[in-house]
Amino acid sequence: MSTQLDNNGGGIERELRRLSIGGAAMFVLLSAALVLVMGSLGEQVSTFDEEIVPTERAVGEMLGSLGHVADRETAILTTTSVDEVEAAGDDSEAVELAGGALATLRGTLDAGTVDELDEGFERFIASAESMTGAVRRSHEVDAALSSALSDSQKEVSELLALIDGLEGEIQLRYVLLLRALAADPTADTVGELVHGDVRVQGERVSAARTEIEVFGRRIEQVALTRNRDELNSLSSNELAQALASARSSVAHLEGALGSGQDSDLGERAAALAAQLEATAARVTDGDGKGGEGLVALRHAYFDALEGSRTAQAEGRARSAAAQESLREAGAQARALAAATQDKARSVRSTAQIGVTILVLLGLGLCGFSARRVLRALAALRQQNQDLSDLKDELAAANEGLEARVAERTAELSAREASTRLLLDSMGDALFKADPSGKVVGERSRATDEWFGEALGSDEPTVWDVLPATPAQRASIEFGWEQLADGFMPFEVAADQIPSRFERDGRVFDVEYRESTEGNVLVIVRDWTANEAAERAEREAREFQTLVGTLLEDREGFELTHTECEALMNELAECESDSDCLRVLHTLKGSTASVGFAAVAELAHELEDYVKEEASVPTEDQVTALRGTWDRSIGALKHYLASEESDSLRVQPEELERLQRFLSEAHPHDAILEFVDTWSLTAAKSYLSRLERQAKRIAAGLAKEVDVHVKDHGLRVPEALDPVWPALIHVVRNSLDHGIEAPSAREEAGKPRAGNLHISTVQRGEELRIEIYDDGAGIDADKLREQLHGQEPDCDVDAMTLVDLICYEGLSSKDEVTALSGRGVGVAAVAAAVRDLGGSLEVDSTPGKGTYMSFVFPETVEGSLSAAA
Amino acid sequence: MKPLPLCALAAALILGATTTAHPTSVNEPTNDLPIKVGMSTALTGPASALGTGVRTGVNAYFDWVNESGGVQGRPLELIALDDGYEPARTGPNMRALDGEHDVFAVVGNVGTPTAAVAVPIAGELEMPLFGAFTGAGLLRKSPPDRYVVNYRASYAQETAAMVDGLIDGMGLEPSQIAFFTQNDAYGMAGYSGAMKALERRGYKEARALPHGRYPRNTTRVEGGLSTIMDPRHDVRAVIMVGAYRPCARMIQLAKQHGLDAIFLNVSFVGSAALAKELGAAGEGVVVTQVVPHFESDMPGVAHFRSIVPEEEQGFVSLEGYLLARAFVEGLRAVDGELTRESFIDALESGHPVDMGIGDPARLAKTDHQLSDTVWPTVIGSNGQYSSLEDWSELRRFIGGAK
Repeated sequence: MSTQLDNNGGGIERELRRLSIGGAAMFVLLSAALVLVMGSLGEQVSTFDEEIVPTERAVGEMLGSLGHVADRETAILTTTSVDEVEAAGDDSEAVELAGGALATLRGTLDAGTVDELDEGFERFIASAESMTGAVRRSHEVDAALSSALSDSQKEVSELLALIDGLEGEIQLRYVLLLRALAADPTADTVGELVHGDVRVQGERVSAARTEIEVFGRRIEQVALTRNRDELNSLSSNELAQALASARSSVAHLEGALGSGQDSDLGERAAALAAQLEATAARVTDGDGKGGEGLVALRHAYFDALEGSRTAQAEGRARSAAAQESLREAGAQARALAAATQDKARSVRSTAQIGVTILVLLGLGLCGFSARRVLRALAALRQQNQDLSDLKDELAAANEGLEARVAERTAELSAREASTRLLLDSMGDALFKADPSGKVVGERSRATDEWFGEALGSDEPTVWDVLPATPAQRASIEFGWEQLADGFMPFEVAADQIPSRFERDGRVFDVEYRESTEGNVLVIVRDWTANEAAERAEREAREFQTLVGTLLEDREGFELTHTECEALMNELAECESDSDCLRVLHTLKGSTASVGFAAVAELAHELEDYVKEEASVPTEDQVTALRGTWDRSIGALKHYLASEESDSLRVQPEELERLQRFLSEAHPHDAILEFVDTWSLTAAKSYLSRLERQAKRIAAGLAKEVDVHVKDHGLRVPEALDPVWPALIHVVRNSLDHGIEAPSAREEAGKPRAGNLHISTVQRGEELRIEIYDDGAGIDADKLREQLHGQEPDCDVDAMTLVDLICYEGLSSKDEVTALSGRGVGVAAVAAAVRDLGGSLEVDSTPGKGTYMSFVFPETVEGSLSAAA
Repeated sequence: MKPLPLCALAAALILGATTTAHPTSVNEPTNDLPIKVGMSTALTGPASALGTGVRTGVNAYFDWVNESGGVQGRPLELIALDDGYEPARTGPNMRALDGEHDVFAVVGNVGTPTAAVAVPIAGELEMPLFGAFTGAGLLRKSPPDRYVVNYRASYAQETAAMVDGLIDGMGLEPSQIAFFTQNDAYGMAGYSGAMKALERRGYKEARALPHGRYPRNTTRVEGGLSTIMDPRHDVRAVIMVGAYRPCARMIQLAKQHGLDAIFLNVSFVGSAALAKELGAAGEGVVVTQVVPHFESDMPGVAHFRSIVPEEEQGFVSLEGYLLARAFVEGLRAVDGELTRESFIDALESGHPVDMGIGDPARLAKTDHQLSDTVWPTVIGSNGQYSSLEDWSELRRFIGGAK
C-alpha cells in the first residue's frame, strides 16, 4: 500500500520537475529569440541611418553639382565679352561637392557604378571647361572682327572722300572749259574739250569711284557671310575681282592725272592709290588663315563658332551620360533600401512564427504534464478511497482524515507553483478577467511589472489596468458588456475592443481570447520594437518618394519646401480658426503633392480637429506637426540649403535663337533686347509644373483628364511667384469638383475624359492666367442657399459668383476629400492675387464648365514681356 | 462670428482694384521766392559763341527787369547749364533743371540736334520751352506743341524772304537763281522753303534750278560749284544754306572763276565768322537775320543797346534780349496765380506781346511763333554788316544783269 503511495507521489514529483525544466527551457528560448529579433531589427535601422540616407543624399549632391556646372555653362553661353566670361567664375565648388559625394557613394554602392559616375562627371567638367575656352575665343575673335570691319569701312569712306574731292575738282575744270568755250566759240578749247585731259580724267575718276564703291560693298559682305563656303567663294571671286578692278581703275586715273600739268592732282591720285593698298592689306592680310585681315578674322570667327558648337554638343552628351550614371546610382540606392526593408520584414515574420511555435510547444508540454499529474492524482485518489475503506473497516477515521488534508494541501500548492512558474516565464502580460471585467486568478510577472500600480486597487477591472485614454476606457467597458451578453460571436465582440495602447514611450498590443467559465484571457505584448520598425519602413518609403520628386522636378520641390516652411511659421502664429484652417489646408495639399505623406496626414487630422473643436490647434499639436515636418525634410534639407544660387533657366529654343542671332551678326541692340527678357521667368516652367501636378491629382481621384497648357511664349515677372503654388488649389477644385467621374460624364453625354486648360496670355497691358474645364460647373444658387443656411444675416443675393466661391468654409460639394472641398482653397489664391493688385474673374455654366481668370495689371513690378 | 463684415471682406478682397495715382510734379513757385528760369546751351565748344551770346542778352534783360521790381514782385533768376552742343548732355540738363533746380521754364536753348532731345522732354514734364535758338521745323509743328514757343523765323522763312527780295526787289528772273546747300536736314529745310516760295509765285521749274551740294563737315565745294557754273545757266544769285567755312570757300572760288552773282546766306551761317573768313571777297554778300540790325533805331533795339555793353552787342545777344523780353511779357500777361499752365494759357489768349520791334505779336493755340520777320543785311567794303533797306541796291554788285 505504502509502496503504491510512494510510487504515485514520486510520479507527481517527477512530472513537476519535468514541467519546471520545460518552463525554464522555454524562458531561455524566448529570451534568446527576443534578443535575436531586437538585434536584427536594430541592425536594419542602423543600415538605414548609416548607409541608405547618406547614399541618397550623396546622389542628390551629385545631381546638384551637375546642375551647378550646367547652369554656369548656360551663363557662359549668354556672355557677350571675355570680361563677362571671367566674371562667371569656375566650377571648383561644384567639383569639391561632387568629390565629397563620390567618397560617400564609394562606401555604399557598387565600385563599377561609382567609377563610371566619377569618370562621367570628370568628362563633363572637362567639356564644360573646353566650352568656356571656346566661348572666350569666340568673344575675342568677334571683338577683333568688329574692330577690323569698322576700320575697313572707315578707310573705304576716306577713299570715297578722296575720290569725291578729285571728282569735284575735275568737274569744275570741265565746266570752266565749257564756260570758256561758251564765251569764245572760236578758241581752241573745243579740241581740248573733245580730246583733252579733262574729259578723260572725268571719265576715269567716275570709273574709279564705281569700282571703289563695289570694293566697299564686298568688304561689308565679308562680315555677313554665313559660312566658310560663302566666305571662300566671296574672297576668291567677288572680293578679289573687285580689288583688282579698283586697283586697275585707280592706276588708270593716276595715269590720266599724272600726265596733266597740275602736279597737285597727280599727288592726290598717288595718295588715293596708296590708301587703296592700305585698305586692301587690312582686308586681305594673311588671306585664308592666321592673319589680321578681315577675311582671316572671319575664318577665325567660323573656327571659334564651330569650336563652341562642338564643345556645347559634347557638353550636352556628357551631361546626359553623367545623369544616366547618376540614375543608375540612384536605382542602386533604392535597391539597397528595398533589400534592407525586405530583410526587416522577414526577420519580423520569422520572429512571429518562432514565438508562436515556442508558445504552442510550451502549452503542449504543460497539457501533457498536467494530464500525467491528473492521472497520478486519480490513482492516488483511488488509493485514498481504498485506504479510507480500510480505515472505516479499522474504525480509525480521525487519523486518516488528517493525513488526507495534509496531502491535499501539498498537492494544491505544487499545482499553483507550477502555473505561476509558467506565467512568470512569459515575456508578455497575461491575465484573466471575468465577464464583469474584474481581473481574476493568476497572472504573469510582466502584468505586475507593467500594470502593478493599477492592479493594487480594490477589485481592478480590465479598463482600470490597461493604460487607455478616457475614450478607449469607455470603449473597453462597452466592448466588455458585448462580450458578456454573448449576443455576438466572441471574435466579433473582441475585435471591437481597442487593442493598441501607448504609455511611457512603449506601445502595447492587446489580444483577447476566450477562456474557461466565461472568463477572458487578456494577452498584452510590448509592441514598441515592431512599431519602430513599421515607422522606419514608412518613413523610408516616404523618403524614396521625396527623392523621386526631387529628381524629377527640383525647382517645384524647392518652391514647395519654401512655401511649407512659411506655412509652418504662419500656423504657429495664426489666431483664428479660419486662418488655421486655410493654412492647414494649403499645407496638406502642398505636402501631399510632392509626397510628404506623414505631414499631409497629420495636417488632415489637425484640420479635422480645428473644424470639430472650432478652435486653433494646441501648441502640442503644432509642435508635433513641426516635428514631423522637420524629420521629413531633415535628410533633404542639407542639400536644399546648398542650392542658393542666382542661376537663370533658359529654354532650348531661346538658346538656339541667341546662337542664330550671334552667328548672323544681328545688331547688338536687338540681341540685348532679346536677352534682357531672360531676367523674367518663362511661364512655360510654371505651367509644366501645374500640368504634372494636375495629372498626379487626377490619377489619385480616378478621373480621366486631358490637361492642356499654353504659355504663348510669355515670360512672367518674379513678383508673381507667390501666386503659382496657390493655383494648385484651383486646379484641384477643377479636378475634384468640376470634372465628373467618367461614368457620370458619359451619362451627361460628354466624352469620358474631361479637359482642363491652363494658359498664360497677354491681353493689352494685362497678364492673365486662365484655368478652365468642361466639368459640372458651379451651382451658384446652391451655394447661396447653403450660405444662407450657415449665415442667415448675410445678404446672399447681393454676392457675386466670385464672392461666393471665395467665402471661407463654403463649398458646393457635400463631401470633403483629402484634396479639396473645404472652400478655403480659392480664398487662399484670391489672397495671393490681391496682394499683387490683381483680380479674379469667374464664369460658370452648370453642366458645361467653369472658367477662371487671374488678371494682373501692368503695375505688377517687372512688367510683362513677350519673348517675341 | 459676425457674418456681415466677412461678406464685405470677401467682396473687398476680390473687387479691390489698385489704381496708382501719378503725382503731378508741376512747379508752382510761391510768392516769396524768385522765378527760376533754366537754359541748357553751348557755353563751351565750337558753338559756344552762340550760347554765351544768347545768355548775355537774356541776363541783361532779366537784370533790368529785376531792377525795376521784378514780375509780380518776384525777381527773375537764370540758371544756365552747359551742354556743349551735345544732345547726349541736353536730356540730363533738362531733367536737372526741372527736378533739382525747380525752374519755371527753359528759355533760349541753342541748336537743332539739342532741340530734338529737349522738345519731347519739355512735353513730358509739361514745362515751357521758350525761344530756342533754332529755325528747325521740329519746333514748328502744326498745330504747335503746347509747351514750345518760338521767337525766331524759320530757315524756310529766311530763304523765302531771299527769293521774294531777289525777284521783287532786285528784278531777277526765277531762272537766274541757284542754290548751294549742306547735304543734310538743315540744308534741305532752307532749300524747301525757297522751292515753296518759287512755286507760290507760279514758277513751275523751281526744282530744275541748279542746286549744288557739299558734304557736311568738309570744304569739298568744287562739285557743287561746277553744277552752279554750268554755262547753260545764267546764274545771277546763289542762295546758300550751310556753315561759314565751306560757304566762304565756295564764294571765293566762284568769284575767282568769274561767276558774276550775288551770294545770300541764312542767319545760322554765323554772320561775324563768315565776314572774317571772306575778307575782301565779302563785299556784297547778303546774310538774312531773324532780328533787326543791332544798330537799328527800333525802340526795342535801342533799349537793348542801352543795357548791353557795346563789345557784347550783336545779332545773337539781340536775339537773347528779344526772347527774354517776350518771355517777361508772357509772364506779365498772367492774371492771378503764376503757373506753367496759366503762362501758356495767357500767351495763347492772344494777349499782345510787345518786343519793341514793330507791332506786338499775338499768339494763339494754332500759332506759337513770336516773329516771322526776316531782316536782310549786307557786308560792305569795310567788312561790316549793314541793313539792306532796298534789294535793288544789290544790283551794283553784279554787272550786266537785266
